[in-house]
Amino acid sequence: MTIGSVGIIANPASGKDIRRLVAHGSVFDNNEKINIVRRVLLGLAATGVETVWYMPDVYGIVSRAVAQATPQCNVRPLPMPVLNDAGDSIEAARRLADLGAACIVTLGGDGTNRAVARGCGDVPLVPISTGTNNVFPRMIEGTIAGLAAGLVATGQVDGEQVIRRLPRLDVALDGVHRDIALIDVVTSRHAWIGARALWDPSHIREIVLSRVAPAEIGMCGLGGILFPEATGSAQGVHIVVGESTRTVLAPVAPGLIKPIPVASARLLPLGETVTIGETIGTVALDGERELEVLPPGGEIAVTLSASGPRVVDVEATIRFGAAAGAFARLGAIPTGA
Amino acid sequence: MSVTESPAVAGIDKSKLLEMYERMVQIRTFEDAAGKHFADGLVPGFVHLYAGEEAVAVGVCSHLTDRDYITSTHRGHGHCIAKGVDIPGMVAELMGKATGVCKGKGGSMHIADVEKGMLGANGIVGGGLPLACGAALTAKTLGTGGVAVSFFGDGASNQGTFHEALNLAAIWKLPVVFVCENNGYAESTPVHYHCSATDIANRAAAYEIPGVVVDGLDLFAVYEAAGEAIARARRGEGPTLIEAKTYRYYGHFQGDTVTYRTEEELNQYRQRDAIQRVRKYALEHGLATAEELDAIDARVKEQVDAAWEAAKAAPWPDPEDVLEDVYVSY
Repeated sequence: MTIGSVGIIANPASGKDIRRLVAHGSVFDNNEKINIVRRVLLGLAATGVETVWYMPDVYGIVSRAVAQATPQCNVRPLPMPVLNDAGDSIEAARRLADLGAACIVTLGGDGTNRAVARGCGDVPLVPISTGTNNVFPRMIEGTIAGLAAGLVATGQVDGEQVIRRLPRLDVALDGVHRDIALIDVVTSRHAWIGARALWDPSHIREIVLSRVAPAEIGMCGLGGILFPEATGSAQGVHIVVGESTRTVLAPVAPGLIKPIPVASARLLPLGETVTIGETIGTVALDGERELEVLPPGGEIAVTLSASGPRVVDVEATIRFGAAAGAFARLGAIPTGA
Repeated sequence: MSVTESPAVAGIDKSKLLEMYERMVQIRTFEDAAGKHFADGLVPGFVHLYAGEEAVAVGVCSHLTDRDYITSTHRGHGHCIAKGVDIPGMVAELMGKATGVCKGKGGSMHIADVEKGMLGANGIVGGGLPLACGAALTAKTLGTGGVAVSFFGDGASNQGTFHEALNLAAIWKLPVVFVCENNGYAESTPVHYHCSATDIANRAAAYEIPGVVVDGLDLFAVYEAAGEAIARARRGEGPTLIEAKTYRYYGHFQGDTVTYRTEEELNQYRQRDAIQRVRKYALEHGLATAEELDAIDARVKEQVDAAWEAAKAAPWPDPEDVLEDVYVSY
């Protein structure tokens, strides 16, 4: 059995943006991230993972977790500069892919995972939610996430059974590929990137979603509410916001539920491109204003692609692991002890 | 949609943007000149320069009027200018001249202009936070609709006054906004060494008030967050803590040998210069031409140079006046 290494990318900046002020987002302090990483490490060690690589950060989320937990595996920082921006997550993901990591545990929100997805290639992710409007990562106990990542990395569970490739949205401006999104692309009249988070629906023009999921926060939930019968199907949604007799209540951000006038909405098949012309303003990717579209304006093209990141289904992994006896072996108590 | 519609949608039109740009340039030019003239021996005492942090003061104070209050720090020149304090009067104050805004009795670290709602720079680290609570309580009690903003640094967030002020503001739902200018260093001590938390905004959770982190080198990020926090305070919904991650270009004080940080680090931040970012935005969005912006730069330089010349020529305070304006009669 080959035991693969596991990566950890914990974003120290997630969970602190303006949505704590304009909505009711929780402050996610880095001490809690340390606690979660500690539990992830203990989960990984319990499955026999021997080597863990992590993204270094100024605060030292993982190094502090190690200092307090002393897991039975080698936990090493990736040899990389720390620039304190999203580029750190991209670079760490690239390096983990180059090292052949078996999987990457991420702590952050949709934005963090978008950055990781830009660098990780086919390395599967175990995303733990520590952000605000999170659709891609799940609120999952770190111990369980660590065990699942460990079962996959150590080969005790066949990755083919539990890893799914998710869709993504490819974003081009005037024909040039600019970025990706995992959940949503939103064009906005908001004139600057500024505080980044997309929270005022009055500026929104068009929305492209990578999935149909009504029970999610943010614009993703709006698409699901419009097409509940298509929940879970391999389709996206394209919504044009504007004057209309049709208004839909949408959970824009935590505790912020706003009526959105829907001028038109349709399901989007995989592979199809939505073209949004005459755009001036900003383009939000996964809930954060990322691109400025300067005068005289530009044409945004968003393509729903099946080539998104691979993600470990934690629930399925634990289930398969249990069925295969992984926990029975791990839990054996020496006789005569 | 026309080119200039876009910023108006989000609340900043050309006029407002250029006004904020000019304020930022005024601060930078004022501070560069203060540093030079301090070295020339024209300024008694110490000066702590604000250059690099302009986006914070301007992004916040652009939402305020004279009925609103601010409390400042030892690094207070930028707050004064952003709040509308007279620049020639400030220069004269730095020199200790009778024409200074405090008649030469305050100096750099104690400039105040109550008419403008500027309640004072403050030589005591963390000293402004409780004062802002008092000003906010006044506004609330009198029903003026005014808001108090307290600027303070990352080092001050470790003072007891910070915690006392946040608690008091929270339990009394005071119309106050706490703006932490985290420039990375408490004097010479890096924030990761002196502070147990990566983000000072996290401390808001302990008092059950909103706490947000913004890029303090981005005028728009500060403007957006401050606008929401100030509006919230005016609505009677209580205080907010904003942490603006920023950077100062000069040392802690003029004369600081700055052995605690590298040139490389300084240059990295200069690459993200707040004023240049606004300039770039204005040009890219067709809101101003390079000539218009250059004209603002030149006008401000003339204004500041003239202020120094006027202050040099101004009289010293009369020794007979030494006790005037020192004590208040009730």
